[in-house]
Amino acid sequence: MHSYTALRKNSTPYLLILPTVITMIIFSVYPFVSGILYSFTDIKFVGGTATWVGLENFTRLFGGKVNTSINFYKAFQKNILWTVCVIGGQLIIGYIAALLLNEKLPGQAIFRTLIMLPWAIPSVVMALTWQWMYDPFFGLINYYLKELGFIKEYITWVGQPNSTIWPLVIIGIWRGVPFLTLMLLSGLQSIPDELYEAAKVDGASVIQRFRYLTLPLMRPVTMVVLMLTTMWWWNSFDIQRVMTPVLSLGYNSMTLPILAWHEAFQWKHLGRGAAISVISLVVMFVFIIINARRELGDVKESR
Amino acid sequence: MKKNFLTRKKVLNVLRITFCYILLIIITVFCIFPIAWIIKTAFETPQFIRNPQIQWMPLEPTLENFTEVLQNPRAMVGRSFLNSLIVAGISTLLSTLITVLAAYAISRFNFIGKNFFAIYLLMINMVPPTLILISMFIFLVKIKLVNSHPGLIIYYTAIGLPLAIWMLKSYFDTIPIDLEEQAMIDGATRLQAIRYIILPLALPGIVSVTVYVFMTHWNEFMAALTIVQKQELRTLPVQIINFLGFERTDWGPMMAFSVLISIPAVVLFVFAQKHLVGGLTTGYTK
Amino acid sequence: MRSKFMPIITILFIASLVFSACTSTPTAAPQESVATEAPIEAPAESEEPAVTEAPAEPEEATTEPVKLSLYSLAWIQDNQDMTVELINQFNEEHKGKIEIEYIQGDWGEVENYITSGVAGGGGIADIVEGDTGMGLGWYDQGFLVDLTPYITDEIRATMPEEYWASRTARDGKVFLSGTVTGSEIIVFYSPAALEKAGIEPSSPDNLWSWEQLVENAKLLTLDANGKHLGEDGFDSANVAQWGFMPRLDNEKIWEEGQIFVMQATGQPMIRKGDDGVWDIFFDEAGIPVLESYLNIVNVGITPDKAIGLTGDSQNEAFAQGQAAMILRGYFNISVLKGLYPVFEFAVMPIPMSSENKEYYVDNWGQGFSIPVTSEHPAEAAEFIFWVQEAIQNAKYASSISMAPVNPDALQDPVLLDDPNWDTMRFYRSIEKLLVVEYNTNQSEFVTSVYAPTLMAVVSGEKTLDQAMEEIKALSKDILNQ
Repeated sequence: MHSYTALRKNSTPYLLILPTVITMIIFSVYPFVSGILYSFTDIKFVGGTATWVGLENFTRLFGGKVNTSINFYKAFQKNILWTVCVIGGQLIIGYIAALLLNEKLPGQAIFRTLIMLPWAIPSVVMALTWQWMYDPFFGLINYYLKELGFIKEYITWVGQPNSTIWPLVIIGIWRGVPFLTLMLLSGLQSIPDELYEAAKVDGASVIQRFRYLTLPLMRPVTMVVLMLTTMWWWNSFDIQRVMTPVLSLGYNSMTLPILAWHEAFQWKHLGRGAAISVISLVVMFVFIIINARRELGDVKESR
Repeated sequence: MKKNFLTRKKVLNVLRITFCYILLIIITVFCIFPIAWIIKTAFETPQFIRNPQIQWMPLEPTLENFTEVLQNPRAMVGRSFLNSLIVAGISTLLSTLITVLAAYAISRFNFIGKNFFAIYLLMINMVPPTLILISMFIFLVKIKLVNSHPGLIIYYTAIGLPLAIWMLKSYFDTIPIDLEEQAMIDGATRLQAIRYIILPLALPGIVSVTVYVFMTHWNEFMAALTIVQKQELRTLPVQIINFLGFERTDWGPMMAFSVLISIPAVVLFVFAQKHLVGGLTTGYTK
Repeated sequence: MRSKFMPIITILFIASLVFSACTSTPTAAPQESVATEAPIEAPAESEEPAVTEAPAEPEEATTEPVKLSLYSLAWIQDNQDMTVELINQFNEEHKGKIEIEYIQGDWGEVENYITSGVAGGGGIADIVEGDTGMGLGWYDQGFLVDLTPYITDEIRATMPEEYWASRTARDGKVFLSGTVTGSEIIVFYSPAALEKAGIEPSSPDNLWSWEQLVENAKLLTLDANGKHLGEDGFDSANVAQWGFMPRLDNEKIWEEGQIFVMQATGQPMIRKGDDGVWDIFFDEAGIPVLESYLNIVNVGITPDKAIGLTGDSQNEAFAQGQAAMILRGYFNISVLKGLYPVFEFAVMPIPMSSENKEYYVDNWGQGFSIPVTSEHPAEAAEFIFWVQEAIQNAKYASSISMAPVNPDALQDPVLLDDPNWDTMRFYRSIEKLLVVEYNTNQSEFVTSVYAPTLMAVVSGEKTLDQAMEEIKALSKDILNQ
């Protein structure tokens, strides 16, 4: 903590954060609150009349057999599957990459730049590229899988009513690896080398050092990164939106943000779209709070 | 005996390093092969693009795809490039300005509501963009800013703030407060202290935040798609999807277009990489 | 730090400005070349700027022309060029009075375009291309101008009443003009492949039934050794030419499947029941047709990859000889000709129920609408109904190869001399128009229930009976929201 003695009792900080507060109130608090309000109305499209319908949107989403709720449950499950798989994959590959880059091998700067590069590519471009690579006739994924004997015939991977979420998960992993590698690498670099040296002297093997030294020390960084990425990937939209044509919703690979978007803007149930987003938000909020609590608790105990 | 041990250790070390390199190369290939494929397709002669035989070097390298994109009136590359530049540029400037002020305040002052403010900035991350977008859209409609660049710029500025402030705040934290205090004791005003001491020291952090924010805005797709409909106002990510067309996909020009879109972000990224890595990480992990 | 970084950013910024300045000029650049090569140059690029900018000078003294813009959904090159050509012709005829500018639009984006445009209080085109379904939705949301005041008796006579009906809202107001109509789909075939297998194509005198189509397609499904499906030693893992390759996806399985069913039943599938409640109906006569259609992959005449085929890949497969027959809308004639100028193909009618030799189509169609934000609806209306006149209508229809709304247009030399239009004339001779009321929840129903469930039948995960039951369980709820 810094010392604030010289700087206290002053109106300066309020002036400094004023622009942010104004911007936030207008463009974050207001939309956020009104979005929640809209979820209790039957507003159909932008500019339509909004009548208060109470919990109707929510009961329809949770209420059993109607199509809306079937879609909702499906999308909900898919969203969990999507988040878990994408982040799991990112974490594993990111960890390996970070550990390797931390070895300080010659040429690691080049490897680092290359591994980070996908991060700078606009998400739309990468989705297009993957679409092209997944092309059922001339895509290179089909080509290599067939060459290597994994598939007999070319397969249409994405953008179809019955296509699965797995090809999209691969894209998600690819997309997120740079960020995770970056964060984990900097975490690793902040561990003092002396600790490793000491462990080596004590005769700990590579695996032991990883298990009893690296992992515990990396825990705070990992948790922060995990929470951030979970928030992002839970809400991710671009990949699915571009990989699936508007008119043929990727039914089996539909996640909550996609469903919300379809309900709100394609099927003209704006209120229901807002309701889906609200539920999605509440779930994420609870998840983050529980995790943050546990983390904070752990930190306190260890001190 | 001793000699033997040493060579064995050496062999093991070489093996270890080889193993590391192999793994590294596998991961690197996984990360960059799509990018290589974009570039290859962009420079390939159209008739070889749909070649059942995959090859990684263009059979007959050509700029045809680029000229096709640049000349196609439908693509409007120049116009949308300018649009993207205007929108991302202005919103990044605004974001950075507001960010520096707020981050400095949180880092240096203690004030009522500070914790709430800081936590709000972190928590806003988890609000689904769709939710913000829906009400934001209605709001922009009300104030007649939909279908205009100011509308998009305002939206971007607001969306980019929370993370940027959070990152920069942590960067400011690493700069010892004594420096300013010393300067102020020596008779400098606060403004002078900030101008001559803090800003130069924080420049790497500010640059990395700026680059990060610019990249996010440059690449943003969903809001740009929803808020701006006028063709001559569209930004690049939306324009490329529009160019994709209906039922037809010319991968050559498409990939050439992709290369054009990616260049600014990639070049910025490569040049700023070092600072970006430092700045981002201090931001998140502290 | 600063010394290294700032120049780079500055250079980048300037470079991109220069870059965008250079590339945004193509609209102006061709102007210079117009003088020398204008006659050969494609009209889309060269003539438009010349025409739109020319009147500015001589007009200075007199009144300014009314400036309009048109958001076109044309996606076939021919159709884009033709729309531009018609606009130029119109501008020429109305020199000094009306001047229309072409805006390239997109089917996937138009919904957003008009929503945010009207809601945002303008800035969008004065004329927006659309179809009857979308148009009705827009009109209901209050986005479109009522065209009724501009429709004279003369204009009324240019289009059959059924087509007017699908362009009229519940309050009796017309919201869309007519350009083309037609859910008409046809079978494209390779004459060489059929000849080799000794198969006579379907013709008005000898129409194929679904059974015949499947049988013939089996003969046309050849493996690498030239053996056909059903023959001894046929290698199903190594098919070189597929008999029949329609596109099987959410959109097509609805659009095309519905046409087959309607041909057999004479009724649209989604309609109001006797009780006045919307529902989907699987009529007796339509079920065998649906069964044959959804079974083509299981029978082996269609590859798995037809599931999710893009239109592009389908044409590619057809042109490369990987498919002997494909199923496509009439417009694909234009597409194929544009993509593969030397490739030879012909078209024939779809398989038809032998008892019911009538071709039922709904009165779906395309046309132009005027958003309420337009400041000059009268001038805009003048254009859209001018395009509806027989001569212009024939040109437009020919460029997109879809049926013209104006019956006189079919007799225009532009369409009369083209053999590919024979099938269309045949369709027209047996055609019955169904006036279909459009259900605004249809899109949700089709994309989220109907299509995915039937796709499961195609892939063999469900039987048709199961699928129909599942669809029925949800249909009323969605369609009557």
